[in-house]
Amino acid sequence: MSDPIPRVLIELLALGELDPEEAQRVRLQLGDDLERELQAIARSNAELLARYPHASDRTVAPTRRGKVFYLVTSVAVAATLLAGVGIVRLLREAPPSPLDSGLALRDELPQTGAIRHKGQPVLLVFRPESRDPLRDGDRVEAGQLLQLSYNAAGASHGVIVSIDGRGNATLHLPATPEGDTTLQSGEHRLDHAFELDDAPRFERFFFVTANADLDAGKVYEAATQLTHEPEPTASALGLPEGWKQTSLLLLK
Amino acid sequence: MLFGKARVTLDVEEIYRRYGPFVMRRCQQMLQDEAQAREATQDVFVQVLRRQDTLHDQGLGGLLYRMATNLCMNRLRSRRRRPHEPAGALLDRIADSTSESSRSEARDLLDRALEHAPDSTAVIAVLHLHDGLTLEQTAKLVGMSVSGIRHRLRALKATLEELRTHV
Repeated sequence: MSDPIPRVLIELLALGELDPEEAQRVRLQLGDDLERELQAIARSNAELLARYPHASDRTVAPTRRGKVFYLVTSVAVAATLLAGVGIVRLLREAPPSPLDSGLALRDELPQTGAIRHKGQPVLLVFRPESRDPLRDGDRVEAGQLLQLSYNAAGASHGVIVSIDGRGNATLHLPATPEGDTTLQSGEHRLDHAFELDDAPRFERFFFVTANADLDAGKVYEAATQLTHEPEPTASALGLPEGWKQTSLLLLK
Repeated sequence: MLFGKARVTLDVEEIYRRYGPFVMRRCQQMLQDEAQAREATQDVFVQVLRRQDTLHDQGLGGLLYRMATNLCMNRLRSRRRRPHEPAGALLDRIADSTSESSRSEARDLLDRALEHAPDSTAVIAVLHLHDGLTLEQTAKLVGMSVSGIRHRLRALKATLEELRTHV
């Protein structure tokens, strides 16, 4: 007896977004159930759209971990949002939402680090409550929130990744290895902060830049590799020629 | 201006009509709560709204599925931090439907993934272990190579093994 067909494949088939080979495989596996499945999806679509006819009856812009700036709007106001009209912001507590990349705050960055590092790409790490960036060797603790910012200093593309004392690598920018690595010009704060876990000894952040598209997956793999090296707090990432890197080491 | 965008390149409501129910069903499947599923669905489309300059309005199914999965994972993670909410049962339900590991192993894997893995790795784990996608299908959906998926899952399991030895 064959394994059940993953639900998402039937959904993508109904959307017409499976590649032809996969679509044919799913059709064959469904056999006589194909039509019934597609009709059930169509019925569900109609019911859900009748119940929830619009994408949003409130529009929310989650930002930093632990806090979310809610843009409280009606459906009608959401439409005006599309035209770029200003919105009222209300602050409230909410759970973190790390995949909310692209939901940028437009707050001004603290200027201290940017001035200090003018002329070269720089990664800045802040405690959200502070305007002063952390420095190499500063102490941090589990549970602390950190906000990442960068100054591209003319570099067109970049990736931010970190490693910790437990041997984990984390991709911060872009959110996924296949994500867009295009950098914003000048100073730019990432749209989400994150909470340090209890990994021991250190957190080390890398900002990898280039003037052509970067493969974030390669940077992530290099970071993962570095966690297996004898000196992960001191060695550089093994990267293709021409990719620049800068790092910041925080101790625990 | 908050968003700094006057140019509209995507009709989000049109995208919602095409993909909204699909996203809603995914969120409902993971969260088992219609109100929360609706909220998560809205969050997905707010992200679409904010990314509209970089998205195309065709072939978004895989991306929206990943976004929905990740947002729901965050909600499950948040529930786990609030003991009065029955997140454990929800995670159990996810783990129970796995086809590749024993129930306890799967639950442990998912639970640890939520805590310690990068978001994208946790999504990969859910797609493969809970949703039942093959490595190849998972790779296609997340836009990575099969070897990349294997690497992530291996790294995840290695992390878990290490964690287990420290319990």
